[in-house]
Amino acid sequence: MNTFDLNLSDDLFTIEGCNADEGEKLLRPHTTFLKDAWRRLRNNKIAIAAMCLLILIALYTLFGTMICGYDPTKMSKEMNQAPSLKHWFGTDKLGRDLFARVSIGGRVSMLIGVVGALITTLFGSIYGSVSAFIGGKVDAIMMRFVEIISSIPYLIVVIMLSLMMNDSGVKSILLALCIVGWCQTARLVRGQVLQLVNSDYVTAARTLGVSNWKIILRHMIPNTMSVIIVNLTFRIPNYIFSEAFLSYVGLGISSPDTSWGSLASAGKENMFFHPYQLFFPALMIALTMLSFTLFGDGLRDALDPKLRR
Amino acid sequence: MPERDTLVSVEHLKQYFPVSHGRILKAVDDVTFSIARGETFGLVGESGCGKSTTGRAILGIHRPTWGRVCYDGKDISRFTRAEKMQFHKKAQMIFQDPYACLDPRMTISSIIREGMDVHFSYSRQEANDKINQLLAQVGLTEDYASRFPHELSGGQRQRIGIARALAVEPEFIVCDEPIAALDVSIQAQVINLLLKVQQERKHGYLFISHDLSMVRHISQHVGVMYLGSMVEMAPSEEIYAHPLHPYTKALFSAIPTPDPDANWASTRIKLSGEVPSPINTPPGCKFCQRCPYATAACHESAPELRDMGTGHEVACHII
Amino acid sequence: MERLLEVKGLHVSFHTYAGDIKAVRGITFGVEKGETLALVGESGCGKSVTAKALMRLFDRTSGEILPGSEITFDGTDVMKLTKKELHAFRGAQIGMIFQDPMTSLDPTMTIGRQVGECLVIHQGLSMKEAQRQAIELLRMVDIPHPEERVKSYPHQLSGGMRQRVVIATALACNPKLIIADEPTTALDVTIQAQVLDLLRDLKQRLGTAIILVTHDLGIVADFSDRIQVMYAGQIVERGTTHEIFKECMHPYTWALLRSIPRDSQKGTTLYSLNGTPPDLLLPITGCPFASRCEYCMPICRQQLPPETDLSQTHRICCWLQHPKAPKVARPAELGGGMNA
Repeated sequence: MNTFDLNLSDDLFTIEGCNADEGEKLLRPHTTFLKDAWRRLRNNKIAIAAMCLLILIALYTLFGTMICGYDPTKMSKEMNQAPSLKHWFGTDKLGRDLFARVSIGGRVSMLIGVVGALITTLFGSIYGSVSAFIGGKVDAIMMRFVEIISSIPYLIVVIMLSLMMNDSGVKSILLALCIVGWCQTARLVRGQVLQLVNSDYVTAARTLGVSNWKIILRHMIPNTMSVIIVNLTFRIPNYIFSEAFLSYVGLGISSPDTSWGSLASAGKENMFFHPYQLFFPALMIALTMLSFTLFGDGLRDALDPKLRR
Repeated sequence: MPERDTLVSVEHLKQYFPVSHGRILKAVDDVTFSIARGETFGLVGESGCGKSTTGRAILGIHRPTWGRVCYDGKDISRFTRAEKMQFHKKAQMIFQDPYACLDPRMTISSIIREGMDVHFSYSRQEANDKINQLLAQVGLTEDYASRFPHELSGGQRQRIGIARALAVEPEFIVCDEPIAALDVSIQAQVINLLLKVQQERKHGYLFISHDLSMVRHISQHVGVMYLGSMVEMAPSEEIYAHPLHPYTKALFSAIPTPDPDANWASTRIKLSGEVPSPINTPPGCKFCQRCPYATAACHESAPELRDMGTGHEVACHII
Repeated sequence: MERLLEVKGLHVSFHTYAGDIKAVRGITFGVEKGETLALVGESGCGKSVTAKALMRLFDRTSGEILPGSEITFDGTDVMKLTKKELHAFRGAQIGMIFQDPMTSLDPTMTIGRQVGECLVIHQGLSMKEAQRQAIELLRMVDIPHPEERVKSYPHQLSGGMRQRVVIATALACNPKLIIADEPTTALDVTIQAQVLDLLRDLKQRLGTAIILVTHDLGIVADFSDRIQVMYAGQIVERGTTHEIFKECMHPYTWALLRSIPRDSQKGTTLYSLNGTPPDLLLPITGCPFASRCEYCMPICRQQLPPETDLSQTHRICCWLQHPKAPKVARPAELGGGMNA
C-alpha cells in the first residue's frame, strides 16, 4: 500500500491555488498552415524524391542543349549512332543528337502539360464555383452543359480542330485538350464550394453581413486552394501523356517541331535496330508522369486538413 | 403578466423543405413566440424537432415558407438594404460545432475582425485594441490573436466564436446548441461567459439546446418543441415546476439526476417509441403516437396553444 | 466476489509526428464478476482508450500498449494472445457497444446477419440457427416485430433502434463483460433513458459485468456500482457510487459535480474550472490537475501524489490527503463540512 513520505518540508503544503490563465497557456509551438503542410511534405520521402526528380527534368529540358553543346536541328553524317560518350542518347536517322532533341521536345511536352493544366484548372475552378455559389436553376443548367461537353470524345475534337485550324502544332493541341479538360475540375470545385457554402463559418460571415465578394475572397478561395493545387499536379501528367499519345498517332506535333510524343513516334520505326531512339523519349514521359503523380499524392496528404494534428 | 419589450417575434412560422418524390419535410410547422429585449428564451426539444431551423429562420438564413419574423416590429424579409446591414450588426449567431464554425485558414484576430470591418471603420490600432479587449472578455490572452483555430481546444474555439459575435456589438444572439459539443467543466465556462456579457450589454438570447438543466439555468422563458410544433411555452420557473404537456413531463423526467439516492429509473415517466419522421406527418396531434393519454380527438385534429394563465401556454386536447 | 478483469500499470501511447501522446499513464484497476464499473472523465482523459486497450483494439501505427502493461481477463493473459486467439477472444468473451451505432453496424448487411455473425464465427452455429437466435436476441432488447426486423438494414432503423441492435450483437455470444463506450451520447434524452433502462434490465437478468465509459455523471448515478474518475490518463479518484457522489475528496471530482447546474442557483454564475486539461504530448510533472486546481500547493507541481486509501473501496490521488496538508472541507453544495 502506498503511504506518504512524511519527510517532505512543511512549506510545500500551503494552498496557493492556481492562476486563472495558467490552464490557458499556449504550450505547443506556433505553426502556420503552410509551415505545417511543408513539414508533412518534407517527411514524405517519396514525394520529396519525386520533387527533386521533377526539378532535374525541368533543368534538363531548359538547359539540355547547352550541356551537350549540340544543335538539336543540325543534321550530321553520324546517323543512327548508339549512345556513347560523344552522343549521350545516340543520334537519330538524320544524325541529330538525341540528348538535345529530347531536351527540346521536353520543352513542348512540359509547356503543353503545364499551360494546359493551368488554363483548364483556372477556367474549371471559376465555372464550378460560380455554378455552386449561385445555385438553383443556374447551377442545374451549368452542370448539364458540363455533362454535354464531357460526353464528347476528345479525339473527335482534336481531329476536327486540327482540320479546321489547318495546322498541327502546339496551339491546336492545347485548344483541343482545354475544351474537354476543364469539365472534371469544374465538377470537383463545385462539390467543394457547395460544401463550403453550407459550412458554419460561411453562415457566420453571412450573419455578420460580409458581402458575397468578400466571402469568396476570404473563405472560398483559400479553402478550395489546396484541392485545386493538388488537382493541378494530377492534371499535368495527364496532359503530357495526352500530347504524347496524339503526337504518337500522328495528330499532334509534327516536324520540324518536336515533342516527346513525336520523338517516340519517330523512334518506333527503328525500334528493332535502334531501340534507344524510342527508349529515351519514352523514359522521359514515364519519369515525368510518375514523379508528378507521386508528388501530387504527397501534396494531397500534406494539404489535407483532416490529417492535421 | 408584465408588459414585455418585444425584440423578436415569430408569427406562424412554417419552414418546409422539399425532399424527393414530391414529399415535404415540415421542419417547422406553425410556430409563434416572441423574445423580449434582454431576455433569454430557451428552445428545447430532441434532435429533428426544428429548433435549429427556427433559429436560422429568425436570422434570415432560411426564407420562411409561410409566416413572418419581425425584429423590432419590422418584418425582416421586407428590410431595405440599409436595414438589412443594420440587422446583420444587431443579430448574431453562435454555433454548435466549435470545429466547423471557424475558418481554418484565418488567424483568430482576422476571424474576430471580420464583422468589425463590415460595420465599423476602425483604424488598425483601434481594431487591435478592440480584438485584445474582446479576447480578454472571453478569458483569453493577447497571444491568441496570431494563432490559428486548430491550435485551440474546443472550449477556447467556442469562446472565439462568441468573441466574433460580440465584436459587432449585437443586441440579439441566437445560441444554437453552444455547449452540446463541450465537456461538462467547459460548458460551465461558456454559460458563465454568456451570462456575464448579457448582464453587461443586455443582450436578448435565443438559447437552443437539448440540455434541459442548462436551459433552466439560463433562460427566463422556455418553449418546448416536438416535431416542428411548439407544444408548451411558459416562464421557466413555471414550466419546470408544473409541466403540463405529456411530452414536456416525459422530457423533464428523462433528465438523469446526478444523485445515487434519487432512484431516477423508477420514478420517471417512460415514453415508448421514437420521434416519427417529419416527412408527411399525419393530421392530429404530432405527439399522439407516443402519448400515453391519447384519445380519438388527438388523432383527428391538431391542438393549438392555449394560455392556461400566467403566460403558461400548452397545446394539448386533454388539459 | 471473483475477479473477472485485472489491469496493472496500463500505459497507452499514440505516435504522432509531434511526439508520443501518452493517453493512458499507468492505471491499475479490476472488475469483479457481474459488477458495473463506470469510467468517468472529460474528453481526452483516456477513458475510451482504456476501454479499447482492454480488447487490444489498436494497430501498431496508431496506438500502442506499452510493454509492462498487464491485462488479465478471467485467467487469460490478454497481452500474450496471438492475433488469432485475440480474434476468438473479442466478441466471445467481451462484447463492445460503441458511441455511434451507425459506424459500428455494416450498412450492407441485414440486422439478422450482423447479430448472428458472431454466433456463426465463435460458436460454429449454422446460418439458419444463428438467424433463429438473432430473433431471440432482438426480442430480448425490446425490438418490436423481431421476425421482420432481422431482414431490414441499419439505415431503415432509427438511432435508438440501431443502438439496441448493437447491444444485441454485443450480447450474442453471452460475453462475461460488456464494454459500453458512451452508449447514449449520440441519442436524445428520451431515447437515452430507454437504452439505459434496457442495459440495467439486461445486467440484472444476465449478470454480465459492464464497464460503462461516459462523460455524463448523471447517467452513472443510479447505474453503476463503482466509479473511477479519470483525468489526463490517470485515475484520480475511485470508489463506490455512493462514495463518489456523497463523500468524494478530490478537487477534480468536486469540480465535475459542481459544474452540473442545480435548481437553487438559477441565473447565477455556475461553478466552472479555469483553463483546459493538460496537453498529453508534453511531460507532466506533479499532479496533472495542479494548473486548474484551486487548492494547488507547491508540492502538487513537483511530485505526482501517491494513491491512498480512504476506505476499503475509496482511493484517491491527491496531496490534500497528506497529514501535513491543510484540511479542506468538501464544498457546501456537495454536502461538505463534516469530513474535514
